[in-house]
Amino acid sequence: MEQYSSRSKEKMFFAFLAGFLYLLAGSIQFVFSLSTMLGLFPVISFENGLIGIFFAPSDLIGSLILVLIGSIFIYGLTELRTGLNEGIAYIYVGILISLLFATVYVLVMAGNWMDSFLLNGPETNGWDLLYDLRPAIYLGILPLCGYLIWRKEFRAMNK
Amino acid sequence: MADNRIRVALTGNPNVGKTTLFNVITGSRQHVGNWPGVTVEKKSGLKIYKGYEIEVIDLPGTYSLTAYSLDEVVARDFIVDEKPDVVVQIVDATNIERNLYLTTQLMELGSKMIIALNMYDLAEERGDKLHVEKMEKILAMPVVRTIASDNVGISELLDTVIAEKQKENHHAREIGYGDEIESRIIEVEKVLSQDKELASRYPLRWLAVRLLDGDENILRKIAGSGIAQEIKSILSSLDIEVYEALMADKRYEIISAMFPQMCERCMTRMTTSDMIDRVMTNKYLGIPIFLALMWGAFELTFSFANPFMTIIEMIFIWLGEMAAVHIHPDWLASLVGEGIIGGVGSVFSFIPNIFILFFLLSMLEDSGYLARAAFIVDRVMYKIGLQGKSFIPMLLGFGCNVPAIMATRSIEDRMDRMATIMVVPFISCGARLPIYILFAGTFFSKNAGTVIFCIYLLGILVAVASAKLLRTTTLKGHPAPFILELPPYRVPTLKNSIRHMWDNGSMYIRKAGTIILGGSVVIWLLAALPWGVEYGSEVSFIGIIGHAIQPLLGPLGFDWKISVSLLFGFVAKEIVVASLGVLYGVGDDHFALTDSLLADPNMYSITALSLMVFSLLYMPCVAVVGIIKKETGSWKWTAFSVAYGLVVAWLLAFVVFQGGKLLY
Amino acid sequence: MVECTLNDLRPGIKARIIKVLAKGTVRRKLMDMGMVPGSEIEVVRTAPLGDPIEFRIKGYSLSMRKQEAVNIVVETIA
Ligand SMILES: Nc1nc2c(ncn2[C@@H]2O[C@H](COP(=O)(O)OP(=O)(O)OP(=O)(O)O)[C@@H](O)[C@H]2O)c(=O)[nH]1
Ligand SMILES: [Mg+2]
Repeated sequence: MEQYSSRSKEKMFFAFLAGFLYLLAGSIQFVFSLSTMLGLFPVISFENGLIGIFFAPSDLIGSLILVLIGSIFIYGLTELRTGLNEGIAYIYVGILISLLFATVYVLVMAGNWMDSFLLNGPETNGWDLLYDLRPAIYLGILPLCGYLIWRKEFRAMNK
Repeated sequence: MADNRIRVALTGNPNVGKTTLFNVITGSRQHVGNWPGVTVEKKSGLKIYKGYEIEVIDLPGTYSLTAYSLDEVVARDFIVDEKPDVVVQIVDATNIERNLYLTTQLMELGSKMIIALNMYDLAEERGDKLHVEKMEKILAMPVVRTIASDNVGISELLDTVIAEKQKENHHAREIGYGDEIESRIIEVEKVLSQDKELASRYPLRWLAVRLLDGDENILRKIAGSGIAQEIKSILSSLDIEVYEALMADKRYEIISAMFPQMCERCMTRMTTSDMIDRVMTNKYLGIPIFLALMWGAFELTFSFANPFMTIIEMIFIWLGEMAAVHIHPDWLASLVGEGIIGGVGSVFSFIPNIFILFFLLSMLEDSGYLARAAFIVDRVMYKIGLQGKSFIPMLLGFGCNVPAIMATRSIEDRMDRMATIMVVPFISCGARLPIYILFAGTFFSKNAGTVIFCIYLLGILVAVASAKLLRTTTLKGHPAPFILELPPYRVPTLKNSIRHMWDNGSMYIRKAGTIILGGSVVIWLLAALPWGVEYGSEVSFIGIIGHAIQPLLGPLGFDWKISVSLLFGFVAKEIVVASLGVLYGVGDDHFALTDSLLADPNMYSITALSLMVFSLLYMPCVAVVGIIKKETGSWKWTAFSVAYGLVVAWLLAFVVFQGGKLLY
Repeated sequence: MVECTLNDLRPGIKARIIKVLAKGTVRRKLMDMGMVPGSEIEVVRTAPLGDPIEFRIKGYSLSMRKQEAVNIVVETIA
C-alpha cells in the first residue's frame, strides 16, 4: 500500500497520540515510583501540584504497563508508516489491552472504595481517590473513544 | 439391551465443541475451554428424549484413531472396543478439511455415524457457503448443523440419532487405496479371517487397514491370536512407513476431492485472530504482554476482593460474638465460637479471592490465549527439559493442582508428563492463598502485594529448577517434540466464566463446610482435651503433639502452634489458617486473627515469610497425593513427590529464616 | 521453485510439502495433522524467542519446533 487512505491517516494520528501519551505518562510515573521507592524525592499527591496528582501513585509495574501499551501503539504506527496495513492490528490490540487495564484499575478503585466504606462508613477518610486514580484509568478514555469509533470495523475484519 | 436405550459417543478433533454439546444435551457442567486437550476422561450423561433413554458419552478429542497421548487412547478405545450404537463426530465447520481425516477413519470402522457440523455460526460469519445436503450425499451419512454454544440444532441432532439407531443393517464404507495397497489389504484380510473371534469383533478390512497403517495398538490386540505370527511376517516384509504415508495421502486426496463440493469460499483469510496474534506473539512485545496480563490478573485477584473479604469477616466476627453471648454451657460456646466459627470463618473470608482467581483463569482459557502462552514459553520450557504443553497444566495449577495434574494426560511423552506432574505441586494453588493473604497482610501490610507476588514467583522458580533437576537425573532424555494446534481467539462469554467460577469456587465453599469444618472441630477437641486443661495450652493434646514435632520445625522459626497447624495442613492447605484460627481463638473476642498474630511475641515478619515459603512448597493436600498416585500409577513416584516437596520446603524456609535472622 | 526444509522459510512464504522425513510416531502424528506430501503450508510467524514456528496448513494454525520442521522437505510456491 503506497498511499494511505484517509482512514488509515486517522488511525496513524490516533496511534501517535495514544502512544505518545502512554509512553509519557509511563515514563514519568516510572521515574517517580523509582525515586519514591529509593527515597530520593518522594512524590505525594497534593503536595507536588498537578504532576503529583496525576502520577503520584508509586506503582513501578503499573508504569511499565503504561510504557508497554504506548509501545504497542507506536509499533503499530511504524508498521502503518512503512505501508503495512497489518499495523492496524496493533492499534486494535493496543486499544483492547489499554481498556483491559483501565478496567482492572477501575475495579481495584471500586474495591478500595467499598472496603473503606464498609470499615469507616460514608465519610471516606480512609480512602484517597487520587491514590487510586491511576494514569491507566484516565488515559483509558482515549482508547475508549477509538474503540467506539472503530468498533464496527474491527468486527468486520472477520469477513 | 432394551430398544429404547441408545448409547451415543461424541467424538471429534480437539476443541471442536464436544463438551459444549455434551453439556447442552445432558444438562451437565463439564469443563469447557478454548484450547485443545480440555477433556481428558470420558464422561457420560443421560438424556430422556421422546421416550428414548439416550446415554451420551463425551470423549477427549483426537486427530486420528492412532492414539499418541493417554487422553487420545481413551477416545480411541471407547470408539473401537465399546461399540456405541451411534457415533456422532463433531466437526468444526470452519476447519472441515482436517476434521474429515478422522471421519475417513471412523467410516471404515463401520459404526452408525452422524456428523454434527458445529460452530456453524462462525463459518457463516466468515462467509463460508456450506452445502450440507451434498455433504450428506458424498459422505453417505446424516449431517446436522449445530451451534452448541447457542443451543441450536440439538433436537435435530437427537432426532437424527434416533432415526439412525432404528435403521437396520449397516455397512462399513470403504475407501479405495489403489491397487497396490488394496492387494495387500486383501492378503492381510484373508489371514485375519482365520480367527473367527476377531472377525466377530471388528470389521476385518478395517483391521487390515489399521495394521498396514502401522497401528501398534491393533498389533497388540491381535497378539494373542493364533494368526499373529503370520501377520507379523507379512508386515515385516513391507516398508510400513511407505504404506502409512501412502494411506494418509490417499485419505487427504479423497478429502480434497470432496471438499470443494461441500464448501464454497472456504479459504483462509486474514482473520481477527491473525491480527491479534501478530501483536500477542510479536518478537519484542509478546513476552512483555504475557507478563503484563499475568500481573493484571494477579492484581485483580488480590485487590478487588478486599471489600468482599471485609463483609465476610464482619459476619463471622458478629457470629462469634453471638456465640459467646448466647450459647451455654461454656464448652459449647467455645466449640462453636473458637472451633467452628474461628476455623471455618478464617477460611471463608478468602473465598472472594478464589472466586476471582477462577473467573480470570476461565477468561484465560476461553479466550484462546492459553495455547499462545504455551507457544510463547515453549523455548524456555525446552531449556529446562519440558515443553510448551507442560505450561498449560502449570497455569491451571494456580487454580487447583488436581485438575492441573489431570491435564498432563494430553502430553504425549511419558518423561515430559512425569516431570510435569512432579513440578505442578510447587505452583501455588488457590487453597494456599489464604495463608499468604493472612501472613503477608499482617506482617507486611504495605508491601503485602509484592511479598505475595514474590512467593508465587518462588513457586514457579522451584518448579522450573526441579524440572531441570529431574530431566538431568532420573528422567533423563531428550525433550519430546512439541506439536500443538493454536485455536482461534474467541471472546470469552460472561456466562461461561461465571459458571466456571461458580463451579470451582463452590467447591471451596463445600470444602470449608466439610473437611475444614471437621478439621476445625478435631483441632478444637485436641485443644480442649484432656478434660479440664486450659484451652489450647501446652498440656492439651494439641500442645503435646505440637511440642513433639516442634523440634523438627524449630530451625525454621515455627513455634508449636504453627508446627501443629502445618501438620494438619496436609489434609488441605486451608486448614493451616483454620487451625490457627481455632488455636488463637478468633471467635472469643473482637479481634481478628491478624491482631492475635501480631500480639504473639513469637511471630516476626521473618517467621511469617518462612511460614509462607514452607506452605508454598510442602505437599499441597491429600487430594493431590491421591491424584499423583492415580496419574503416575506408582507409589514410588508419589512418595518421592511428597518427600521431595518436604525437603525443598524445609531447606528454603531454613535459608529464609536463618538468613533473615542474620540480617537483622 | 526451490526445494528446502520447512525451517528455512521466512514468515509469509507459502510452500508445498514434498516429503516428511520424520520417523515413527512423530511422522504419523504430523501426517494425521495434515502434513502430507502435496499439502500447501504457510509460515505464519516464529515465537518471540525464536522457536517454535507457527504454520498454517489446511486452514488451521499449527505450531512446532525448528527441530521438527527440519524434517519436512518443501518447495516454495511463487
Ligand atoms: N462460536 C461457537 N463456539 C463454540 C461452539 N461450540 C463450542 N464453542 C466453543 O469452542 C470451544 C471449545 O469447546 P469444548 O466443548 O471445550 O471443545 P471440546 O471438543 O470438548 O475440546 P477438547 O475437550 O479439548 O477436545 C469453547 O470455547 C466453546 O465455547 C459453537 O457452536 N459456536
Ligand atoms: Mg471437551
